[in-house]
Amino acid sequence: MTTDQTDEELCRRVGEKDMRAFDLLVDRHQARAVRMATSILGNEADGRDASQEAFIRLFQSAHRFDGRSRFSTWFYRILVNLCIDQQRRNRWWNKVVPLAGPGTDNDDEPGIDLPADEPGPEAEVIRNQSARRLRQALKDLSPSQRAAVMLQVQEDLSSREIAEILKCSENTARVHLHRGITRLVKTLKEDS
Amino acid sequence: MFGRHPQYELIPYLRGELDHAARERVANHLHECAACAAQLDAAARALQLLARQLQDLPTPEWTAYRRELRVKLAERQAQSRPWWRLGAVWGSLATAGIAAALLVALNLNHRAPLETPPVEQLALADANVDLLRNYPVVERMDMLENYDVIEHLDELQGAAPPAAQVHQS
Ligand SMILES: [Zn+2]
Repeated sequence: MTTDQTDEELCRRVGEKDMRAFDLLVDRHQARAVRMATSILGNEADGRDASQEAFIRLFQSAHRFDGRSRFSTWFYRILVNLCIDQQRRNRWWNKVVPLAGPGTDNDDEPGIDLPADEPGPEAEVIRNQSARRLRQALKDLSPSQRAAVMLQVQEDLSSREIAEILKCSENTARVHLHRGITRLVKTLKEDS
Repeated sequence: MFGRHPQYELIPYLRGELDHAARERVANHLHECAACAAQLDAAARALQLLARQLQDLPTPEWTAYRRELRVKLAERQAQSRPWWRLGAVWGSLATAGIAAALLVALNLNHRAPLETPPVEQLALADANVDLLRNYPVVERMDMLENYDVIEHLDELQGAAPPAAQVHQS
């Protein structure tokens, strides 16, 4: 097996329970999957778990990948919907059991876990600030808006592909994108 | 389609997703509408900034991440494996589990009646106790079947004395 095989070819091999193909696919998509999940869910631990769960589901259902869509569309449909479902469950749970305690902001969206301000090298501080700004900005978006924006920015997917992943119409995907980006612009402008 | 300002088509326009007619329509609107033009410009900058900032998100240590994933996958596969494919150990564990459950159920059954049972049942229970009292005898019924043979062993010996006795006489 060579590393220049396409994702679609590797996925077909994963369908035959080829662990090397699985490892290669994980290796190719792990960083993007973790970033995507962390951005939608708002914290690293949940993002890590959700991305691993998506890879497990990929392994279990790769034999059903028919190659009609791109591998990335198929895989991100698994991942994004896992994240959105989890986010909805968290939201429901946090409504039932509201978070309260010292330092808890009332208007904070549940599941958002901002990194602590830790002293460190200057570059690290800037990196943390940058990540925090991004999370703060993404925090104001709904899970579907977050997913749409992330799929656009990170995966470079079209509105039609985003619609396919979010299981909605292309127009709805465009609305999610527009509202998500408009809110991002507003937050980032206020922050700068 | 979306009202006067083509706000929902701005991002698709930016990315070149629109067909020719829609692209023309949005382009013409952008020439006339400063608000939409500004919105498009801000959106393009926000997307660029987001793309840059995404690279700054902390990432896990990948070797540990993949090791953890492998463990989770193995656990999931073990869970989803059909029972007839489970190893001998699981088989015997399951058998032992069923046996234990049956014993517990029987035990509970014995302890279950908390109210006083009717008289007939009590009599029946006594009869059962008598049966159980003789259980060791009942258990050895197969031995009793051969009791006649055992009883007449001496006779058999008399009919055919051991070879040593023959020599002595
Ligand atoms: Zn306009």
